Amino acid sequence: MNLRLGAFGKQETAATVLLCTFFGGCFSVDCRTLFGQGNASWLTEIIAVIQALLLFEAAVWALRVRGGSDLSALIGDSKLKKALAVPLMLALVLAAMLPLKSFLLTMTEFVFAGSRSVAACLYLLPCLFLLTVLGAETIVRTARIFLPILILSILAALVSGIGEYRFDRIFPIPIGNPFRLMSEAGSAQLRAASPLLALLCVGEGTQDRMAMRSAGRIGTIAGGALAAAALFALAMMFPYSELREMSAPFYRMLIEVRAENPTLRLDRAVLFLWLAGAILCAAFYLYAACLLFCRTFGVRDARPVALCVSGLAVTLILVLQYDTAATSAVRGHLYRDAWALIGVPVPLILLKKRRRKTTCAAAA
Amino acid sequence: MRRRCLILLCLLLFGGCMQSKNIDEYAYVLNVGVERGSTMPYLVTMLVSVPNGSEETKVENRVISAEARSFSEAYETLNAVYPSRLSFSRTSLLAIGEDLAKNGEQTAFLDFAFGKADLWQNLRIVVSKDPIREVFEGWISDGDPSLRKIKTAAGELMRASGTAADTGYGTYREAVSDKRFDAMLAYAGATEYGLTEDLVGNEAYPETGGSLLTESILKTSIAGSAVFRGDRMVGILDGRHTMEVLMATGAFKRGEMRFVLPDGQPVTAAFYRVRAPKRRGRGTQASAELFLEADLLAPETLSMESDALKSFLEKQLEAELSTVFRALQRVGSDAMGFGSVQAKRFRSAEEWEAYDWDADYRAMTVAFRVNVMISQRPHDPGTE
Repeated sequence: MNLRLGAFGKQETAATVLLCTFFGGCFSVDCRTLFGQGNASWLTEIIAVIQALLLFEAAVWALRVRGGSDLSALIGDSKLKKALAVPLMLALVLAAMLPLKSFLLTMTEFVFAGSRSVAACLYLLPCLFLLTVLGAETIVRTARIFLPILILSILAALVSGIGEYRFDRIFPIPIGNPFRLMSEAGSAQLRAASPLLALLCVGEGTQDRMAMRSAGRIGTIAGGALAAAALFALAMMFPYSELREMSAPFYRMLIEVRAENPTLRLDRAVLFLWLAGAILCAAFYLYAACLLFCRTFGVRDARPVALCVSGLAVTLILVLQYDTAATSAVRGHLYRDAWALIGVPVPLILLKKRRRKTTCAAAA
Repeated sequence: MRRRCLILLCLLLFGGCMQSKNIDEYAYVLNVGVERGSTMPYLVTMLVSVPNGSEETKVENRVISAEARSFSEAYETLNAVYPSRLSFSRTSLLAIGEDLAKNGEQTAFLDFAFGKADLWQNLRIVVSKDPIREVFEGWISDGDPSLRKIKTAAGELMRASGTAADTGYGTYREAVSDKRFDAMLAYAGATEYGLTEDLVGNEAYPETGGSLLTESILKTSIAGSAVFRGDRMVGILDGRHTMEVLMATGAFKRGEMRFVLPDGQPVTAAFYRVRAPKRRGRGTQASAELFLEADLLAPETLSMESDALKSFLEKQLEAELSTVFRALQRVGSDAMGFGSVQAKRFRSAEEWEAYDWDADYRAMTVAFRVNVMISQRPHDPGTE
């Protein structure tokens, strides 16, 4: 067995979930979809995080009832459950891919202007492959070390923009239709629930179910709060009519800051810090997908699978960079409907055993 | 494990060290200007700073220009004929010629320039009433070769005197694309040029904010504002009227005004914003309540009691604010930003986008209420 899971503590786990929740909330978004009808993204992020936490609590409860330590224990041996694991793996690959795709676009548009996506991807590939192959312990411990720098960079970005914020930009707040608000929060499940899904996949590494639950709660609440704060700052920086036309709103936020002195400009430094964070998060998701695959289908070495899922993620990034009618349609579905990859299989996996219990009880 | 994690983190962070650039190969563009060309649609002018050694005093400033059909064409032309590579990493001011601004012809140029060039997205933006070359040359002096002092001073003048609008490109772009407010940009000129009438009707010299010409080493000054409706410049406001618009929007910090009491005695007051104005609006009715502190110059010499003086200042300001608002309304410019007040009552983007704000604005009446608190502290002349 060479699954490269390792062992890690509550702090490391919470830090990783926090990073993933923040990056999912802020960088896995499609501006045209999210801001097309006004900007309530900060509100939908909070609702989405609450929905994701409820799903996570249900999964932890199911683990407690059945005595397992991670998602593979809930999936078990049945073929149907194994089939349900496939969309979950795909969801993790997509969750890894979306922030990286957004950063790649930022780099080709603003940093290495005019360069091709394939060339810019060379920055991502080695790190992503290496991290995923090294396994969960390396990723999670690196995330713990990286977290303070990242929080500082986020705070620096938010504080440096204070002079440019205007409260009236957040209006009109689209709360006239609560159904739309809830459905937008539902669509955000791919980015809000993926960190907890990945945590459930690597649950054995946290050494204790309660530690996993506690780290999941802390990381999700802190990451969700940070993401909601950043989205609120974004709403005060740009009106929704500008946001829906933007490709990299958070980078634009950095370069909108008025600085008399060029040395105060933080944009490039902060962008590369955030890119490093996004690579870490992507590696965590990809490793979780790889572990889920190995555990579900009985593969004993995680490394070839890690290379395959990393390759799949990078291929998807490159394919979706191209602007064709087909890729635009796929992108639209990804942001609107990909929640179903988590929202449908997870409840089915959780409900399955309860139904069997009921059947047994009826037979008795 | 910790060491391995740190090495990995370093690998992630130091990817940018692979390319090196020699700093001596660059000339830094400090200001960019665009106005109408004689043979091509645009005349692009740049104030370029060439570092000459490590000492700041060895900096050389030059003004270069080229006529072109687009920003990139101008950049390529200038870059080809200039001995150093032009860098926009230190650019902090963008000037638009008044001739372009009056026809809204700058928008297409700016959209393209900001999309393609490495220009900072929130440059300070001004409208130049004189040829941009003269305005840029007027800023160059041997005493401040890096232009740092004059740029800082210009920013401070806008913020501390309130006589010019300190607007970045981001705000301008937002004003053009959105109906919440219209843009008001600082107005720049070379001082030897003549008087210009502002929207309200005063023949004050707009660059000085009051009515005095300045005598200085620098030949260029910034004060007063160019007022826009969408992307077209529709008029100018002098320093005092600019200050009043800033008071109404909440962007005002500090500024001095001179009044004449009923007995003919002049009084000078420095106003400070106490807190943000309260603005409400629904349809064609709106109100704005302002909270200011007035620091009077030599109050002991004034013939009026403090309470009467407070009431006098409040009434004067209310009347002037109403006059400025009507002048803006006449040209259809919502520079006071009452559109952003209207946006608050909508619960969806569709409703807001369908709302005919222009029609309501033209019929709008605004009740201004000014609360002035007479300061008891000694007069602060605003100088060190």
